Amino acid sequence: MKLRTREKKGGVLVPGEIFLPALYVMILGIIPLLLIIVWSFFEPTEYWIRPRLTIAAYTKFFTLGRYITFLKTLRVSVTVTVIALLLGYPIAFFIRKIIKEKYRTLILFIFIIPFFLSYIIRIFSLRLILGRNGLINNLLVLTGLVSEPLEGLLFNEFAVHIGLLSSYLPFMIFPIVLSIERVGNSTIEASQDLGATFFQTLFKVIIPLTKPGIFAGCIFVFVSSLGSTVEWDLLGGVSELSTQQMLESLITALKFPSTFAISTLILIITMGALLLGFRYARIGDLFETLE
Amino acid sequence: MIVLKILLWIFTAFILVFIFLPSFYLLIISFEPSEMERVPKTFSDFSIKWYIRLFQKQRLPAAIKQSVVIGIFTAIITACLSLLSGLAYRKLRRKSYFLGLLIFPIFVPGIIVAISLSVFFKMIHLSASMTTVILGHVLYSLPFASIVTLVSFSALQEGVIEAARDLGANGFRAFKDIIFPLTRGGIFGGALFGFLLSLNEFIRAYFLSGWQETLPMYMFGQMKGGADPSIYALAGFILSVSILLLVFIMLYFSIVRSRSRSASY
Repeated sequence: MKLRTREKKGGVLVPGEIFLPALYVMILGIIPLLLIIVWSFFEPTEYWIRPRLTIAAYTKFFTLGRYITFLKTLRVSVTVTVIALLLGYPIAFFIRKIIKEKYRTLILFIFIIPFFLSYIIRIFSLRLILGRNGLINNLLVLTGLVSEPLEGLLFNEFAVHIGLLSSYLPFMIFPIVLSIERVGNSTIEASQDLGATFFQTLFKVIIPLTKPGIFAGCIFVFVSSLGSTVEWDLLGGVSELSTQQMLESLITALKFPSTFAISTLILIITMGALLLGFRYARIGDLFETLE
Repeated sequence: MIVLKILLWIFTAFILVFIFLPSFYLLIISFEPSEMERVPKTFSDFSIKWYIRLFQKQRLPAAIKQSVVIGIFTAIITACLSLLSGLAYRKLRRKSYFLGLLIFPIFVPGIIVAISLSVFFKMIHLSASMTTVILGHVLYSLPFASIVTLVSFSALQEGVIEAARDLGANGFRAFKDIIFPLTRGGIFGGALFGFLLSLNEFIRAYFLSGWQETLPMYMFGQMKGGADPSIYALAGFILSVSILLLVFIMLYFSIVRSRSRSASY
């Protein structure tokens, strides 16, 4: 018979240590966001806002044509996410299923390095690579593939896409790798024993089972693309206005409710996507892999 | 099937080049002595002229110092918070809610976090300063650091702690002699995460800091305005330091993991 002299396991509902980190995230992470949502419905004064309810900020969003820029930024983010998925899934599959066990950590590590390198450095360097005198054009001219340097590589949406992809592709790869991990080899073997070809197994078994990872990766890339200013600033050039730049200029002009309104809309979209993920793609499972 | 494998190998290599090329290109350019931004023509052309010029610049040492100081504070606070999270996680019943809360900041676009924090600080009349930057950086790195720390805590077996208790250790002893040595890697990893992310973070610093200039801000200013090639040396320098730190983490992690593997039963 065991003497229960030690504390009951799992009996404590909320241990004391939890308070500090939880409080930190709540106070600095959640409350400011709630404030912004609420304040987007206030009226602007000369330097700040006044607590009178109005949806002027939101109507201005449409009447002043801001929604066009917003939709453009959204479109780019979605495109980047889709491309990242198409590129990232094969890589994740490769890492998880084809590379031998002992090299796997090394390769994952290699893919995570860019995350820590200042992305300003990377984006600036892309400017050099894509520019008129850049690496790509130099190579093209050198090998005689083109007679003159290509102008259309930089300072447009294309360059922004490249920049965003270069920055956030690893974010797509990692959750998918985690997710593929949960698809046991025996499941795959079973599928093939039942007569499925490789591609049938891929599309009917592996991909559905890795939905959580796919969704998490997409969310990461999507959110990061929406939140990025550097890629647009440095690669987009003056002609392409981004929502991020719009927010910057709005807040510098002290037009707070409008800033908050646009921010709230972005929040609604990202949180909405997140909720969808939790309900349908069961991202929660992904977290359990961490245990 | 073999064809597929080969294709995947090539594809992955291509993507790796895509991801790493910008950084490498910059690194190589930083050694080109002329004012042109190109790859040095021959080996003898490699020069560290711009690196030397870099450290002679006035504003740079101050910016570096600023970034490092902020980074260290961020690292310490992040490590403490994620340590507490790790300790709490074991005893929690509704684990996933807590984890969700910790991870939450990742899912908010960077610029929104920056705006919300700066407005929040304005409301509580906390003027932009080093403190606000640190607070922002901790919020940003906490999710990642927490994951690292929690992973290392999950390797901790309840049985070992119970054994320690049975042998008479109280809470603090158990932590000092059992938990801490086994999870040291994760905690330290969390701290390092905090430091690295803080060092390279820009958006938050841009919105939150008043007159304080940190390294990324200095660089951004230089890049937008167009400066001499010592900016590339700066980039190359940051790159090398970051990679060195990362390699250090990895080695530390693998050593700790092999040690704890032999310690668990």
